[in-house]
Amino acid sequence: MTENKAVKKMIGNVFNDIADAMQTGQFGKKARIGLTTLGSEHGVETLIQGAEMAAQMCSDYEVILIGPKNDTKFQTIEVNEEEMMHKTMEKLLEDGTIDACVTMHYNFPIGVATVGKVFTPGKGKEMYLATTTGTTSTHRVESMVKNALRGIIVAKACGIENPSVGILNLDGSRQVERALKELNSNGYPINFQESMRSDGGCVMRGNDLLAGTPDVMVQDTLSGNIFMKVFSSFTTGGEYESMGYGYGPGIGDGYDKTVLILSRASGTPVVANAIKYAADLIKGNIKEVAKREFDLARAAGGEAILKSLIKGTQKAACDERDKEVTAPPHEVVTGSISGIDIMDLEDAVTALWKKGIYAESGMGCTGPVVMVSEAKLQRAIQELKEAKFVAQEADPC
Amino acid sequence: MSYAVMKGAGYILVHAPDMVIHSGTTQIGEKLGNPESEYLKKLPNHLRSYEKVVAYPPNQVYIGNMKPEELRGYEMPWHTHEVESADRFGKVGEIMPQDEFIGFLKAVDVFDLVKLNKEFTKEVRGKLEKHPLMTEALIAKIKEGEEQEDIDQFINNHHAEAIYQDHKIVGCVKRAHETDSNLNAHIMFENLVAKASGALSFMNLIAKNDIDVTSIEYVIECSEEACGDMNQRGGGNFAKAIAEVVGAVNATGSDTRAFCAAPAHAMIQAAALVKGGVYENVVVVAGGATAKLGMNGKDHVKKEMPILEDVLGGFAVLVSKNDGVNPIIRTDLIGRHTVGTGSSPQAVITSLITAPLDKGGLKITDVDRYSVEMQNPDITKPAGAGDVPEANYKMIAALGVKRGDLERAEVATFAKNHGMPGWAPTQGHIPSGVPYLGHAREAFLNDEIKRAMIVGKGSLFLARMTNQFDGVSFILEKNDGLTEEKPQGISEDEVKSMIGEAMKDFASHLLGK
Repeated sequence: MTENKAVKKMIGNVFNDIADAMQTGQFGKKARIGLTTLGSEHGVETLIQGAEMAAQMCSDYEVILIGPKNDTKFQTIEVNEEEMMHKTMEKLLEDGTIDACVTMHYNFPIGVATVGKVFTPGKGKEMYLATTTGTTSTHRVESMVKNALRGIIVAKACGIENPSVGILNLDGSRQVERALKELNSNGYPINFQESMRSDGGCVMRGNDLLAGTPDVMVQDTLSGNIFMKVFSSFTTGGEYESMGYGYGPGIGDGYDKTVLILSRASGTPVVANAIKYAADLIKGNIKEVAKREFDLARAAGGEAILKSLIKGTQKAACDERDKEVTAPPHEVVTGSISGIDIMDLEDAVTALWKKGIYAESGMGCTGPVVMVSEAKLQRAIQELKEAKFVAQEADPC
Repeated sequence: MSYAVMKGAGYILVHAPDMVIHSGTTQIGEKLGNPESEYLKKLPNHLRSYEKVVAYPPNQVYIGNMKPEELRGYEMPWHTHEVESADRFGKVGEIMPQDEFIGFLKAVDVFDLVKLNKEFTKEVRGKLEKHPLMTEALIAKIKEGEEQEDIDQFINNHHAEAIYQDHKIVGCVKRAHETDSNLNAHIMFENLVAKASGALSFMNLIAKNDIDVTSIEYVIECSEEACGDMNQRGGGNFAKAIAEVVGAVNATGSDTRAFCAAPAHAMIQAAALVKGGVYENVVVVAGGATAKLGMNGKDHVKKEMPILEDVLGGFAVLVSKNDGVNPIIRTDLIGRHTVGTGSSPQAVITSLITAPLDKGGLKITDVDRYSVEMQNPDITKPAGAGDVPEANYKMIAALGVKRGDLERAEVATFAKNHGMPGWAPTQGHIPSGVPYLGHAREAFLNDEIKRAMIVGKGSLFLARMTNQFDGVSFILEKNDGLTEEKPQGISEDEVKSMIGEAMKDFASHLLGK
């Protein structure tokens, strides 16, 4: 009964949407994109003109300004100070007043980095730069692997079903390639792009940067930031960033805000393009795509691959220590010893092994215990006391 | 199908000082092996009075008059404190004195095995008549009592188990069979205690939560006793026996056994039966164990403490069809320790806690309260077994750091923010996860918490059938009201697509194909 009611409701909603579309000429809800207008080196006017250009380009979205009062037709949330402006932006995103926001000089938490989009001069092809601001990790190789995932997410959300990925030939690129190939063979499919150069390979050269060979170019964030600036301002001599879509959205595992970054040197066309970029991401369900891709990468053993990149000296030392102590021959263990701190339990087991007493760790209803054979119980308790693990015979449940 | 809910709980304690001496295995063992021991001589002087037991803070928590978190306001050892104007009757239960319980033992005995002397019978009938939950029918079953000489005969010549009150013999439990050791007087006594304390818990559940006992369709009993005879040693059925005592005329039931993890297993089974539409109201119930009384007595007496394991415990919980109000039982996020899991604490806690959280896309910190083995540390610490809830919380926090759900700095405060101090008596299955259910329900209804996890564990090696440990866990969540559910298997996008196709089809007819 309730199932029928719910289906009816769905069908009713769809017909309502169709009727709205017929009457207004617009299908689907308009994305609401915020634009903060303080902080540009070129002044508030440059940003506002960017909003006007964006509105003219396309009517799929609505622009809301966050900044000082102005006499445009845009809805403006009045703020006159930068820190307040960012706080207001966060609030409007949280309560759903805006779906995404374009801003500048905004700090993301660690793990979130932005994926920019540029026009490449070779054939005018668009290319995503993963990443252009933000830090995904303090470890260089790990951060580039994470950047690659973010680039793929954004490209997919913008409609590229199977984006090609190229790793720029920088320090660490070979390890990044290995890690991504492992992820690919574990079940997270990555479409590796071959270089345009005659010797091929999926590591990209400078030529590929200009030719826009892959859909997604992977590099460390500092380099990505440089490329972003070069690609957007090489025709203007550097002062005014006039081309491209800006530094892009901040993407992170569990980060659920859609915030796109501009630089203080971004010019009007970049502002307009960034607004359109934001609207495309909303239409493409960036939040869902991000969650889906992060989950898929995790399922393909992403965490383990990243861990293995970071050489753990501790782990190596631990392995060495464990190799020294092997368990004595297996015995039936029904004597239990409690009172040992849970974090020391495994050490207690190893300590008994060293004394030739077979032991196992366990956790039943009375907390953590070390199990030994009944015959060796008293001796084991004594040994543990001497080794300074507090030990006592445990109660049978 | 929507989730089952936890609709109410009842918790009882029975003060049993004489049973400590005569039925606790630590004491029985000592009598056999070392009958002149100092411990046995000192023991009677370390038994608490009923008033002290009622005023003992953890006991007030157990029956629902105080919240577990309030114990943090008392400096340990807690046995040096008394709760002011402590009531023997609690929000969700009661603390019964031993004499009333012995009378009740006779009332639940349908095979005339319990014999009480005339004087004691008269006294205790008078007391039970004042008890709010004892019906006339139940009290009538206590009858008039026997002559003390007959009772002495049973004990001295017919292997009956003596029943003591204030160190005097006031009755006995007869053996139920001349030769079958499974029906000897000692076992009959233990089983009748389990039955009676279970029934009392059930009665409190019904009375304190305003439940119609005839609406109960199924009972799952989950203590650790076995009732049967030599041909079927653990046949059962405590559940049905308890259902009969409390008047659950529309219920049948069965016993679930899993050492201390049994209550958690039973809760999951009950939730599954309700969610699957088999029954609408299932009660999970268990009484206490006389064997465990005074288990750590030697350490307590040695440290000049009173015997703190002087109460039997019991609980009963009602699991019902979703009513849009009570907390739901997330049967889709069950943790279980499997044959392949391994025995180390990391493996155990991973399988029971982090695995179901991962399944639900939840972080360790998304659970407001973890109810693990809530043994009273006042009892366990002097006995050298440490603080069991704390040890559990430490391991959960450590795993949380490893997974990145917690910062290292948050480990020290994890027990305070997501756990509770222990308060339940060491009655095996009794402290295992379930003592928190009554408190949790209240916390959910008062919007204090949104999510709790109940964890039960068991040490199976004790029966010498397997070396495995065992455990299961389940998550309770705030009920967000009976929302209309999305039908399975169809989304709005699919509906849009189908309508689009249909309209194109329609259009093509108009356009003459």
